Amino acid sequence: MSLLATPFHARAAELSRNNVWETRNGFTLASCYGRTDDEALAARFGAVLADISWHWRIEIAGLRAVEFVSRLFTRNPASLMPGMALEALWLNDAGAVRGAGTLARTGEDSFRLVAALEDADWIARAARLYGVTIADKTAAEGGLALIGPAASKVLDAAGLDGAPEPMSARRVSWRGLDVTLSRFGLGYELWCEPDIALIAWDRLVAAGQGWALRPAGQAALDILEFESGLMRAGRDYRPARDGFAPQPSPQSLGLGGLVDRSHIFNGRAGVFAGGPDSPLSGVLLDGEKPVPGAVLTHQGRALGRTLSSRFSPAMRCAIAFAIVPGTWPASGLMAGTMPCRAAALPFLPIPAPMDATEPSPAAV
Amino acid sequence: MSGEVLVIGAGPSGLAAATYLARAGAHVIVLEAEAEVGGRCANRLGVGAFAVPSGPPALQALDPRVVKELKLARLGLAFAVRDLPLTGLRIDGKPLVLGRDLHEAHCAIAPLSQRDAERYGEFRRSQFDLARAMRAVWWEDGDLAREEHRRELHRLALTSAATLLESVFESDALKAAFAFDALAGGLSPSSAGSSLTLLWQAAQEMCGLQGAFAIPRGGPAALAGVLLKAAQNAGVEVRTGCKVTQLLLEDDAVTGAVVARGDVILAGTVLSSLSRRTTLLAFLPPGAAGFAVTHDLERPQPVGEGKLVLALNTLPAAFQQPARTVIAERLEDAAVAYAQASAGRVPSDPMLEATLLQTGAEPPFLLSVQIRPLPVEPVDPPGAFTTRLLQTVLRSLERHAPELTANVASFGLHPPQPCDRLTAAHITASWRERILTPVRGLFLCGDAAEPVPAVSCRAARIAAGFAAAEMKRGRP
Repeated sequence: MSLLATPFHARAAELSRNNVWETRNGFTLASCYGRTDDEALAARFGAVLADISWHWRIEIAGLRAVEFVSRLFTRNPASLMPGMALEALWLNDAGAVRGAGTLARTGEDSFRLVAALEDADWIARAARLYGVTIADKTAAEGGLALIGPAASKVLDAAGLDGAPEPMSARRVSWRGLDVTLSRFGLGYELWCEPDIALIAWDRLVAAGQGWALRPAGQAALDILEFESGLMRAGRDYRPARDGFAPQPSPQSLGLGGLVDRSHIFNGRAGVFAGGPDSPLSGVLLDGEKPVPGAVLTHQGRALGRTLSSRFSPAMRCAIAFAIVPGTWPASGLMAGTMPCRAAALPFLPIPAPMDATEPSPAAV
Repeated sequence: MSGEVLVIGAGPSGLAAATYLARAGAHVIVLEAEAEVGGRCANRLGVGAFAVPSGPPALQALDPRVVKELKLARLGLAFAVRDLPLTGLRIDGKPLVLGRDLHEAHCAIAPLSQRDAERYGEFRRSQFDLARAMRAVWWEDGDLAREEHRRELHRLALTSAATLLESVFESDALKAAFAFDALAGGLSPSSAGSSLTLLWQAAQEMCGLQGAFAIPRGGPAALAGVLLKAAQNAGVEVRTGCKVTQLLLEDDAVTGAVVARGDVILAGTVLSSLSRRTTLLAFLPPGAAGFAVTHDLERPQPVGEGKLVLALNTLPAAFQQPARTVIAERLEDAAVAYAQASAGRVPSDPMLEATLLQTGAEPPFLLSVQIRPLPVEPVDPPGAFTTRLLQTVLRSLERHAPELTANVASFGLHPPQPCDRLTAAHITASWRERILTPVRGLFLCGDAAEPVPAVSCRAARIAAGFAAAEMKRGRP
């Protein structure tokens, strides 16, 4: 298998002190630049810059694009205004989750999907039924995430005025560079052509000097997303890859909130057959060892189970997503053999950017 | 129960389903694209001055409960031949006749192989025993009761027809006699689970006889005629020349159909006796059946079955006895023929099943020849395909009936038609899986819902039951 370099690879190679790399969607990425825990914590107090070029991105275009995306996704994107986006799932015929992502409307008959895990064959085959074209843009542009309370300040300092609202994207001209700014995830995302990627990186790094901006690797991003209560296909659960597999259902993953049951979409009958939604919850474990897939018990009675689990450096304990169909007991909860307690999601507040008009830390 | 029900297709399955639903109190309209009813039982294939059905001349799977409940005998259904023996023609000796009498079969097989003669009876007894047990699955909406039967079914689901026959018999002639049946449903005789088609055939009953083949008096068209009478007696409205072009949906439930003239007929329940592929791909908006289902259906079965009917001036000696006369040299030829057909070519040695019919007019005989396997989408242009197929079939027949070609007064050829892909999983699936569709209110009731395609009406009866129950319950 050949590995791909992202447009920011040169900078990542310069900055990676530990030379720890990982592969996502075929791209080689810095797992961390220094200490993962420090990078995750930095995003909560300052700002971090991370390479997200590996995210799978496709353009969906055609006269029947609206009809197609309406059938494909579990929420109806037909009423989206251009520039706006929504989070949604796509399911197989039996109602099992094949993928999750952010769908942005880019024009009257065009959309862009950003997802962590590719599902090209499924979507392309379905698109053919509608005469809709699918163009993979993953390698055609680079993506940077700017996360943390100071993210908007960095953008401001870099001369990128007017940060986008949540779940929106817009094209901007940035001192001669054409880039797209979006706010789909934990912070802001900047998308640009590979040719100008390093210039964009350098400009942001220069603008972030006053805000302790530092690069963050993929491991830190995973921690941030997990602490913020964001489940990710491929990392936190294995999506269905068979067209008729019944699992994982949105209910079993606590993703029922991303399903509009009044909307007509592929796999809807399977969702109804799967019963009511069980909301995704969290548990804090009395220890640092993650316990994925453990049975949650209370006084010997099984209540539910944990999904994925990992250590949170900010909380100094292991945390886990969990599904518990009924009510949570106040105490005495066990995840396997480890005591734990229920926690509302997100585990920690999303490191939302401060308003650009707020005083800077330096001024305080 | 009351309500509008549309049934698409006025073949035996469509007519039977319509009759059951009308008897249950629904107002049923049957929409038939052709000018007359009957589907593949209708006499549509021209052979000189005659017309014959495009399907096989003998029935093997007509549901006895349909015959009884719809009182088809009282309406005129009778059988000219009740139990056709299986005869394998041999170039180097006497034909091998395998009738119902196991002693006679033993005597016929013994000159070929004493071991096979001894094994044949046991093979047939154990197969019929398992086949009877399988009626819980194939006749009812039930399951196998005994663990040993479940184990055996599991074994067969992984066993090819060729492997099964090779493991039991050693004589080429005996194995070749089953070669035609081993290709039922367009399955490869070498594919895992194809042995289930032999078991399914053994589970059928005609005229009270297990595993029998019977010819209705007046041919299969007579069956279509009595089913039409039964439907009309039950108050079913049959519209011929009324081709459905589209099904109407609201949310994910069917609400009616659009016919070729552009008329809209509203109905909350629709039963289709057409293929799953036609019903879900041609009639529904794209993707409405589900993306995975649509993808699966886009690839039709590559191999099918054709029919050649020869009008003959004289009676060939090889076909004098009433029988299903199989013309196949060796079982291995079936696998080779399947590979050729899959590649779009006319097999050099196709498996043939010939049945002689008397016309009572001039020319006095019709030789109906079912041909398996044939490419559904041949690489040759239609004219060349027909010529090549005719030459191949006549050459095979002439090995056993010299100068047959000189006696042919006229012929009719029905090429293989696109149909749903058959799999071992489909054969053993529940009725619910085969009949229900992803669209609420839309049911399959024809070949697509049968374990193996055949004129059976069993799926129609069960589908009508499902539809009636849903109508009674009301939509969620």
